[in-house]
Amino acid sequence: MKRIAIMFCMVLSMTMTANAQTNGLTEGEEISIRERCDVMINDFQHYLEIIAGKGKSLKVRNHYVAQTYKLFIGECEAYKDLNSKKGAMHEPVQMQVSSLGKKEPETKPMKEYLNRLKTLPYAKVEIKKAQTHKLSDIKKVGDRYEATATIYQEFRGYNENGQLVYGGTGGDWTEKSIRIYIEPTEDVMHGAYFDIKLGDTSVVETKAMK
Amino acid sequence: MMKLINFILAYLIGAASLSAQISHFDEESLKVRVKQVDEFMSRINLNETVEGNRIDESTDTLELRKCALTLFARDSAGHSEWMSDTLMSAVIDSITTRKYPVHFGDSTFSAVVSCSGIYKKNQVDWRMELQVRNIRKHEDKWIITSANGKLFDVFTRDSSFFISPALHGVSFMSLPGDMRVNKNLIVSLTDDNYQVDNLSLLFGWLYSGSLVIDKVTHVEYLFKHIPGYILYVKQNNTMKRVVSGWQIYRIEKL
Repeated sequence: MKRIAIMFCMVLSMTMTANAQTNGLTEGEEISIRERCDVMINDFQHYLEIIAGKGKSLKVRNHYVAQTYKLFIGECEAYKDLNSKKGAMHEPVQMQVSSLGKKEPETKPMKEYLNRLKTLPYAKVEIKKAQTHKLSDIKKVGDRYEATATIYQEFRGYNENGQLVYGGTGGDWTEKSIRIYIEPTEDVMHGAYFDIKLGDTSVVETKAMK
Repeated sequence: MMKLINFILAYLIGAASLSAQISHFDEESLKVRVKQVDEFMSRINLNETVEGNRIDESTDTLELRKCALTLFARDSAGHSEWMSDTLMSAVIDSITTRKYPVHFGDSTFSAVVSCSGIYKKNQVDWRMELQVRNIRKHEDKWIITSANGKLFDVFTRDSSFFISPALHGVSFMSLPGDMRVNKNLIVSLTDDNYQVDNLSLLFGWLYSGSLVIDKVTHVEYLFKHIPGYILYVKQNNTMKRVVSGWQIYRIEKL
């Protein structure tokens, strides 16, 4: 029995080593990238809460809109296409938006989405994130790496009387997937590091809460 | 076996605290949810537990079965429209032997992507099968391997339509007119063995602008790594299920 257990451990550790090596990153690099992706995803969701919420001044919310731009590839402007050898420009990062009344999600440039979020027609807006989010395996794509993050948000819109006016009786609940670009970079200030930027964001599912 | 499955289901319900209607984030149920296809593969290989921890020598059989069970789309009563209990049990047994791991670049793993678009002013749908190919060390890519759908049923072979053996006498001058009039039969002018390739048709239409691809409407995956079975995987998000996310909704026994 003990021998079987030892063999099981050996096979398991071989499998784990194989898994760790499938993208060519060292275990340390992978851990570091994952931690930084987690931070960026958390920052993004936290910024959305501030931008949408009416609790802070417009100046503060504008500041967070500008901060959010910086999280995305091309800072939400058109950017040099990563696959083009001729330097073709890629359209700005997009965000899919869903709502309970609409069957199909709508796709908007991220910049437009963020600025609309600031001016939603509700007296009070709540965007809450789930603690749980999931980062996919990190895949090697040419000289860079890519991953996907799955996040969960709750959204509620209230009128002046504090009544919930969007999202049925409990708001809505959305699952989104965000593309993540991870680029090995080197500069004089920081030395070698992985530059991480977020990309297009798709809606997986939206449902009403009770 | 069913007793064990029911026991694990009850355990999962308890752990996940899922109800038919969600009222707020239920972090436990989100953890159990199979959130990504990568996570599905990790769980079907029994590399990680439902909580996302690495499976090691201390992981007991119940934990392995619990992990495997989260991969099946079943309602809170444990029922499934497309899977018999016997089939599900057999696949769980195979998973828990850990003899059949699946990897991202394996030819036994493919994606079926449903697309919609406009073909000659009409809305059309079709499916493309994609597989992963290794480009070089540590690097893969998805490739399109086939396409199918009613859209491609354009040609009919008719033995009464052929090129006259006398046509060379007039330097084949009638051929263009014959081909224009019998567009859907032109395949009959080829050797009997010739098969129209759907992918070539698709690419030709896309290139010429006859077909404009609009969007991806649905994605599902086929896993054929367990000998004797095809596992159909799609996203099952109804919260009436014990566990949701990317799950096996149908098993085909070969």
